[in-house]
Amino acid sequence: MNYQAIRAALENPLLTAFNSLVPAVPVFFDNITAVPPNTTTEYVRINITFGITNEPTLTSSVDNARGALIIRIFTEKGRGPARNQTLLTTAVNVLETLNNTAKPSTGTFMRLSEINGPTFSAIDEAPHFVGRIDTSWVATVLT
Amino acid sequence: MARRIGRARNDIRNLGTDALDAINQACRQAAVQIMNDLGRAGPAYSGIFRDSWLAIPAGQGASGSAGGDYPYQISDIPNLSLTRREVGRVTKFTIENTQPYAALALDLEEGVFFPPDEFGPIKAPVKEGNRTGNRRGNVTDGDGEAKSTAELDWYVTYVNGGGMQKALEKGVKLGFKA
Repeated sequence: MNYQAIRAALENPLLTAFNSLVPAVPVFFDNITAVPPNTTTEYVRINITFGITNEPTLTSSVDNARGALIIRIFTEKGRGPARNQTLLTTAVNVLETLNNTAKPSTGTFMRLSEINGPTFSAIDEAPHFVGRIDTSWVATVLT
Repeated sequence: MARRIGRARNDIRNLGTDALDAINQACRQAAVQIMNDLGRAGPAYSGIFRDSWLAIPAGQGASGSAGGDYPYQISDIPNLSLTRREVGRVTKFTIENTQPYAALALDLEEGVFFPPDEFGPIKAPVKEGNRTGNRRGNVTDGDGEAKSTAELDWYVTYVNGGGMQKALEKGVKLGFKA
């Protein structure tokens, strides 16, 4: 099982999409501690977790990993939900595109389940309005 | 004829009381498995959150008490009605945590966290140091006093990552064995 390939299959298209926005929106992934929670106007936090690495099946392929993808969008508090929702839409579009991609012959085959959310929250102590979505994924590394 | 056989096979009206009871017991066992998994995987500082999981019957006619302390027992799950209408119900239980701060503990919402001064966590922390931002499990190495007793996003990982499915399978096996 190639965990890094699975991460890359999820992270790369999201990173590309947010980097392509004008202005680009910073994206922070797991184990990146440099998130400046109170200094950046807006940013995206993406967490990928692994639930299981393989599943016994009747076929020869058991490398069927599963896990969760959690995307949190941080935008300026007190300015309404519009900007947050725009960035959420960027993320959702990437996930839907990923789900519609045909199965490759090599590399990582990824499928996502339903997308939960978005849920929104804001607390007094933080300068951000937070939008959150999550989904489950199933991935098979074909090579 | 084939259609009739197919329909009869799936029809709960043809099941005897023993079979109906077995279905209910499997559901109760699955609920225990899930609640214990949630208790094991989730945060436990004082233990109140871990002891606050509840399986609430979705239908009518359930009996017995709901709730208990971790680790949960089958007696903490209400008995379900044996009427065919209730056994055929798709949703049997809603499992929820009764603490008002549950959404924070489940990493679904952000908040501000203050460790109680009088005692340490009853569960070994998975991370200690400084909390970055306002998420419960977002603790990194440092001189701070923040302690996280469950990995960030533990709940979503359990539900989406196959843990809950495994608990259901285990519970059903146990239920039909009993």
